[in-house]
Amino acid sequence: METMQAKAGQYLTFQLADRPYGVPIASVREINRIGDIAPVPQAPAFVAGVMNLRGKVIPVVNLRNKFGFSDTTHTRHTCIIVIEGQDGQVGVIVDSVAGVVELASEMIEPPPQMGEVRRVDFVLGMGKQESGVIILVDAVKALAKENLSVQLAMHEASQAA
Amino acid sequence: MVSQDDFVSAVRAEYLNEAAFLLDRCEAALLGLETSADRTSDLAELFRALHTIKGSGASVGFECLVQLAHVMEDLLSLIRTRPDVVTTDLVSLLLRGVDALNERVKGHKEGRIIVWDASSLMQEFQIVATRLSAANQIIPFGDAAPPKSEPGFGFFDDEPAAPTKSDPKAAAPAASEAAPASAPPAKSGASIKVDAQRIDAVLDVVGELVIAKSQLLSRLDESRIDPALQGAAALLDTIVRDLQDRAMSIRMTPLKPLFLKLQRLARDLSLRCGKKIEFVMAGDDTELDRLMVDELADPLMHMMRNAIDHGIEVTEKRQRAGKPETGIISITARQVGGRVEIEMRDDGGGLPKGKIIAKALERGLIASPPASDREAFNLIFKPGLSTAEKVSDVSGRGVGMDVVKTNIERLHGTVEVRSEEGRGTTFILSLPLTAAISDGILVTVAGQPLLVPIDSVRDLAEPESKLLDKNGGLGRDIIRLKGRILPLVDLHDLVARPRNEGSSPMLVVVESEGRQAALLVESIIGQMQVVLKPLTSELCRGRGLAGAAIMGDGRVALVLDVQSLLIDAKEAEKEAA
Repeated sequence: METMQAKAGQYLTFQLADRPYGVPIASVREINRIGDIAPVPQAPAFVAGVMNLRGKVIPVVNLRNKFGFSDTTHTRHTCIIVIEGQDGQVGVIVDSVAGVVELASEMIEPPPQMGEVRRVDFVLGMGKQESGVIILVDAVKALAKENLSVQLAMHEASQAA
Repeated sequence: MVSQDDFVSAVRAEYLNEAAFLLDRCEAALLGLETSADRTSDLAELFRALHTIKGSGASVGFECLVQLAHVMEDLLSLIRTRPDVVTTDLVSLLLRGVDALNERVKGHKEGRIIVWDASSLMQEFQIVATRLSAANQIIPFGDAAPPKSEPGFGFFDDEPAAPTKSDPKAAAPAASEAAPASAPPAKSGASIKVDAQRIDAVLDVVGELVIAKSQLLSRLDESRIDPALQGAAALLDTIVRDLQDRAMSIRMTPLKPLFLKLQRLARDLSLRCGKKIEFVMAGDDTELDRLMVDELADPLMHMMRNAIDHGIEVTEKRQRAGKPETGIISITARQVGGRVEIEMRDDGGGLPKGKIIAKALERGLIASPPASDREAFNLIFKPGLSTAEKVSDVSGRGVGMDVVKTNIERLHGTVEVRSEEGRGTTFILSLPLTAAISDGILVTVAGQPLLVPIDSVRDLAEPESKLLDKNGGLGRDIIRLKGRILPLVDLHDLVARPRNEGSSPMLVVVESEGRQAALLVESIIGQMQVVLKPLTSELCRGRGLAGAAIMGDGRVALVLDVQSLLIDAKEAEKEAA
């Protein structure tokens, strides 16, 4: 079986509904301010639309919506993290970007076991920091999968954190 | 520092590219053998190319290629000064050899491990070579002995050996010419080979530059600032436009390689079907975006199969009709304004109009016989209509022309058919020079910009009555416009946002596959040229959308797929009925 454990290394941390999350820095292409997003008819509700990334048209996802948090108005801290996925780049709207943390392997715990393992296969692990626990996610996997239990899983993960 | 392994793999990759290029020349020369009067030069070309493939292949360790190339060269050395012994079967055999080499080269290029055993093919070459030299006592590389005419030797049975008249003047230089290390350049003027991906990367950056420039200029327009800056901006605009044109032209490639593929197909199929066919091409130096040329291969090959299988009649039928035995299929390309027209014409039996109509009625594709020939012939583009009396392995299972049409339309092209019973059929494809840039009518719907591709727009209009006959009592939306009743597609429904009641909406009349409909939009902004971007991600692939485009101000406008919109509208209509 494929091990989806988080590896030691650098993570970009961001806030979503007042909780800290982290994505492996290797998957991050760039961070943009929120700009003009064209809504796409008939797209899933969590897809905010498409944006122009210097001549490329990429989808933008509302991670709040996908993870089951209520929508909020954009602030000047609202950012789009552009993630390099298998299916091309995807923009992810987050409340704010915190920074980059370096996590050694002993600072990473496996994802909490919650019933079905499959439900949380995009949660890579929990990063322990003095300030608290960061939920490490594979954003591309969370979005690509038609995983209906994403919302529930994220709630459970954030409870566990 | 380049490691030894890197160096070897780079040399091998270079060899494979060269071999693929030379094999294309071999194929062209072989096809030329059958048609051109000057066979000697084609034979010499073939010999040179194979010699290079063999020679360089040995030095980089492609033994398998070398062995096959070697036996082919042996055979060629027997006939290179004897164009008279060239027969259809001999060319077929050599073409099979070229195909086998091509397959192997392709496999190596893509890093695939393929089962490739050329031993039986090599044996065939050896057998033929033995027979040839035994029957003729041709001295390899010799030229002095006047060739004798040889009545019937086993292998070449379907074509009597041509009366021999070898021209010693033509043969001598070819025979004495030593095979050079590489093929001569195809054209005068230096050229370099560049990886296609690098060109695409340059074009992407140029695309970004064009957009950045447009953004800059639109800001400058708003703020009236110092004339010197305006002047500099105007100059920048000119230069960027020039750069864009030149960059696009890098990707333009001539249609010739594609036409040669068609020639090869025509040759192979005519032998298989037992029909005599002459293939004529013109305008093969016409250039088109490389991506378009790639996409055109399948539809054109399909049309060629149709022309040979269904178009050109069997020999007896042609004789009875008083036509020459040999059927002619011609393909012509020419640039007409900003578009390229490709015409494929056969002098066969023409489309059986009556049969097509009968079949369409029977299949329920139409309710009543069409009024004009044009409409009748256009029925062949409908899914599920094949008029071939027998299903053959060459073509004809009722999938085909509809796919051709879809493929051409995806390239923003059109296809038209003309036919005359007993005289032949002509297909005319009209294509933009590139699929990357497209014209459209920009509209807004609930504040959101949307682009309607210009090739589907027929009319722009204001609704004549204030009453938009939505849901006109018939379970579907219709609108009356200039005395006609058209189905209405409210784009506000597509974007799922309410119509602003205060505004006065506009109509865009569109047509696809002969069906018209009126699109209800909030406002019409105007015509614009945009760079089309595909929506590849699963996350944003919606029905009714063909892609996205970036506008001058940097915002994204979604491009409508009129065809699927109209199909959806028709289905809704059916459900309601």
